[in-house]
Parts: sequence; structure tokens; C-alpha cells
Amino acid sequence: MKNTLLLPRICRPIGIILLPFSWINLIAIYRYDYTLPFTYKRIYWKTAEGALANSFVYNFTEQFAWIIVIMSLFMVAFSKLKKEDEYVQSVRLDSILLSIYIYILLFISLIVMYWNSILFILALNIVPLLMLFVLIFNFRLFILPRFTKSKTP
Amino acid sequence: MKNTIRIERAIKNITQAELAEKVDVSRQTINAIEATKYVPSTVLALKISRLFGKPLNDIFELEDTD
Repeated sequence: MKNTLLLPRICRPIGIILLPFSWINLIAIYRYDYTLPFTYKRIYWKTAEGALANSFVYNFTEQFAWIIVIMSLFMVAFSKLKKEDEYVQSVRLDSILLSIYIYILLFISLIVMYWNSILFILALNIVPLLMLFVLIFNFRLFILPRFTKSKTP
Repeated sequence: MKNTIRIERAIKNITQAELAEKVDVSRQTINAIEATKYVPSTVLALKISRLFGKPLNDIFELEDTD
């Protein structure tokens, strides 16, 4: 079965290797104030006339870390398997639908939260959606068959 | 939809993995079909029946709930 919309097969092992490192990186940033030296960048503010108003050095470690997390999750989630057949396609579709149900949490949070918290929740919803998809898809395809018995005579 | 793939496999003495390889699908697909969790497409059903050398109706059978 041809499917050109998925990433090449090589992306899956790369994503699996990157995934634990990306989370270790995030923990190091938020718990131990770790910063990556190459992520410092000077930001320039200009006035309406185009003159330089202000400049400051900003650290992009957080952004970099989240990009790696999302990228590795995306690589694991949407790369081709060894045999990409009709059943795998159907499981993939079902898993996407199930993982979208995490939006129920988003609805609840939109009702109970205000101002900046809403933006935070909206941003945070990218990661759980992908994580849930990876978990459901791999569970249904690789773990569940071990516990199912043939119903045919 | 019921099927007799497991019996046909036993007659031919082939494993799920071997059958999967012969009809160009994953082993999980054969497992899901045998567990009646997944109804195969017409193309795959025809491939399976051709491999076992039997008519489609002999391998796949409609249930009352279908």
C-alpha cells in the first residue's frame, strides 16, 4: 500500500533515540536551570522609523528543547512501518481519533482558566496529543495482539 | 465476519508470519483477521483465498450480525 504522506522509515529509530534525550534535556532546563551555550541570540527592537530602540540577549534553550521534543514525537508517530498495510492504516486512523479526545481536557481548561493560562494550555496540548497517539498506536499494534486469542475455529 | 484462516493455515502448515509474507501484509494484520477484529479488504481477501486455493466463500463467511 502506497502512502507518500508518511515520513521515511529511518525517521522512526531516529525519533526513538531522540525522545529520551529530549525529555532529559527538558528536565535539566526546568529543574537545574541548564542552558545550552549555542542558543544565546541578540534580539533587536526597532522603532517605527527603523532606528535601533533596544537590544538584549535572549536564551532560546527552552524553545530549542520543545522543538526537539515535538520533532522526535512527530518522527516516532508519523514514520512508515516495515509493512504499511491496510490494517496499520486503519489502526493509525483510529488512534488519531482516540488521541483527539484529549481535547475534552482542553474544553474543560478553557472553561476554568483565564488569560495567560489559556495560551499555556493551548501550547501544551500539542505534546499530549502526539504522546497519546504514539502510545495508543503502538499499544494496539504491537502489545494488544499478544493478548488476543484467535476466535476462528 | 467469520473466517477459517487458522484451519487453512494448519492444513498448509504455515505460520501467521509466513502467511503474512506471502500475501504482503504485516503479521499483525493476519492476527487481527483471525481474531475477527478486522475485516480485510476485497483485494486482501482474494489474495488469501487464492493462496489457499479455495473460493472466497469457503474461507470467509457472513454472520447474522453482519
